[in-house]
Amino acid sequence: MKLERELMRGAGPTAVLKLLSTREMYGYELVEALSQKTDGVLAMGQSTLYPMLYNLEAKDLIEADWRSADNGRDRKYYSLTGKGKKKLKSDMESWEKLSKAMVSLGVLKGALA
Amino acid sequence: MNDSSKLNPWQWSITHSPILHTLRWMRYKCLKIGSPNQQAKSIVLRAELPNDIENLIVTTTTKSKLWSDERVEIARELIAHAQDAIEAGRTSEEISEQFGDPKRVAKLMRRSMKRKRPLYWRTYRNTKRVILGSLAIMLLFYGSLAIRFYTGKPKVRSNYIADLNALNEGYSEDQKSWMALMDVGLQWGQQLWVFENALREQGDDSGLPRSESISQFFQRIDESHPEYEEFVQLIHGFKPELARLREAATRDVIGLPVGFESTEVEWEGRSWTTGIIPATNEDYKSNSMIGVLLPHLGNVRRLGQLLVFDSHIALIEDDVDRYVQDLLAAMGLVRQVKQEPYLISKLVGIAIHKLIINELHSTLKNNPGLLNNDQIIKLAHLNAEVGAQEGFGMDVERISFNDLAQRMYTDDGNGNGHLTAEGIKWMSQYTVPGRVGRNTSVFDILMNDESVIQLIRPISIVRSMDRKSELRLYNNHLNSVERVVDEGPEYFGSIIDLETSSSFYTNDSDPTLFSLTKVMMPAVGNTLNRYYRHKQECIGLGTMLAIESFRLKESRLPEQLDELVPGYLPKLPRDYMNPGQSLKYNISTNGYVLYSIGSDGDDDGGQQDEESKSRNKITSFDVFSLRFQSKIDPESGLAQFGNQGQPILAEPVGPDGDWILFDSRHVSE
Repeated sequence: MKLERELMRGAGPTAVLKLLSTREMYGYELVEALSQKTDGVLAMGQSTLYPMLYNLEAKDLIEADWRSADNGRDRKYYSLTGKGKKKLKSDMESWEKLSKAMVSLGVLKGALA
Repeated sequence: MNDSSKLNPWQWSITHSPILHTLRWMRYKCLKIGSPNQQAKSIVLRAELPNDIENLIVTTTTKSKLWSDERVEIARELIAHAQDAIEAGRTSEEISEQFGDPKRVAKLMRRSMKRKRPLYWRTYRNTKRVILGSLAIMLLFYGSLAIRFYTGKPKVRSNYIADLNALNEGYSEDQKSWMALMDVGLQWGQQLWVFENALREQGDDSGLPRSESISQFFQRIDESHPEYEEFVQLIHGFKPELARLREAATRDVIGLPVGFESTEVEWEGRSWTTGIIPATNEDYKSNSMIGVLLPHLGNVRRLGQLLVFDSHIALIEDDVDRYVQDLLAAMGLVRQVKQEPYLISKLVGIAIHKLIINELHSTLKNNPGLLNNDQIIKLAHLNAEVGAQEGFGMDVERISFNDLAQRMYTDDGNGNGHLTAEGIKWMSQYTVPGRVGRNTSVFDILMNDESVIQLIRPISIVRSMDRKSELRLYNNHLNSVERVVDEGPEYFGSIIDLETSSSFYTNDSDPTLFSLTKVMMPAVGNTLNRYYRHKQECIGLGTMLAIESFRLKESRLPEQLDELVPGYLPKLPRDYMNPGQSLKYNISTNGYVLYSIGSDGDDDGGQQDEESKSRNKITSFDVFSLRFQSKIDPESGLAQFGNQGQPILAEPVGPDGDWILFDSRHVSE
């Protein structure tokens, strides 16, 4: 199951920031992680991921660095900036509130339901 | 690493300078040396990816239309992604499917990559957008102006010809003199022309220099002139026509119908105007008031001169009856022509009246007692009638203005509208609106170029006044002029200064700044002065004739002008230079002097300043605008007005001395 575009637009960047909060990652790694960890719900291809990464980079939420990997190939590694960490924290709080609201309304199943 | 966001401003400006970028693009495009995609493409090829993936990446970088280093960045990122996918066991089909449409990917990449570009570039882009946007808005605005200007059509709705024709409707042909004036004027004009040609053939010794017209010659010829006798014979041969002219001068009106076309005859190889083709009420659609022909005015002026000259000859021949008849006829012409609604007609009347005054001055000075009381009374009554004629011709000026406005501006039904190309073109047959006089700069040359003028002229819709504003400005100005006519010359200072009353009015050399008011406004200052000078001279002549009548009856001069009232004058003669006061009258053993206090505003005892006289400044003694100057507020630079709206007067600036209306003193020494 895939999310609708508008939901993806809201959830995608937060998901990427969250993944990068644990460690720095390269593009393909992010694609795979998003697909596996969300059971395909937040899966995205290059056409969505790289523009999103460039946007986050333009906003100084993440930074990138080309490095040679163990196999000798160049990869671009993305990591969270200080500003990105604050943004992630704020986004998580928002999602938390949204989630509670949705639970309260019965849209989501939770402890209150 | 090749990250453009990490460059310092100097490095960035070299790398991303729009000018250098354009030059690079031109090099790629024109010289085929390479392309922005070349480096990215070679990187993709070196990666040795499956063909379909390779094509996808190349297509994406190509379609992204980004800068070369940005394409390299994308290419490297997508290559690494594809290699990771292959390493993870994905087939090229799976990778291609996940990749999606390369055009769409390129579009998304382009959009997001541009967001990463540095502030300098975004500033440049936004500035460019603002400029281009502004240009587009201006172009759109100008386009709408041009459409309005070039497609706007004036509507000729009012038939002002009918208004003018209505002025003569109450008179029969027997009461009109225009046919006689045209006939006699034609014959006299032809005789003068033959006489002039004969004189010219004699060369410069003939007494008619090349620079002088026959009309000027007519005014200065006297008994001492070698051609005087021949000229007198010419006038003697004109007796029947003079008799007809004297009769015509007694009629009520000139009554020339309004027309735009004259009738002509060919005589001696020259075309002569014989009359006018009366305009129909339909003619107003194609003819404006500005084109109304007044061919009789030249005749009236020449015939007035003829009558005064014949009176002069009659005096020499001791024919006093003819002398008076001629002057009465000339005065009759003044009355008729001043009765016409046109300003120019009134000025012709004033000019003839001046000739009559000069002749009577000379006669009363040199031949006192020549005229009997009846003759004096007849002359005085007709002079009083002429002097009392009201009106300054402003009604026709207003009509002409309204008529031009309806031919130049659109009509929104509420009396407003904007200038049109059709109107400007139509007006250009009479005047050239907004042209620079001298080609002194590139700007001047451009402003005189017809194609440039055509291009920028639509701006006149916003730069120039609209129809209502023009009408308001013109009418306000004429109202202020008429106030001077109605209230007296001391209101000269209340004439609205057009230069300061409208910001739309000031630039002569701007083709987009057209003012109909400026084109149409008569030169009122000088004309008003002539109007009041004439009124004063009528009063002066009337007083002079009354004094002569008194002298004939009482065998003495009156001691004071009061003695003339009410037997000889209905009231004391007004001095327009001295509000509320009458003319001055000084009697001495050898005669009297009748005078106004003149433009300096004080009584100099009937003396003119001799120095000013010798410098030919004599006319400045009778200039009302020098006498009645408004006090100017030093701060605003504008004229000051009292509570009742009357101008506050400054000190007069006319020359020291009085305006002598009649001086008989040297006569009876």
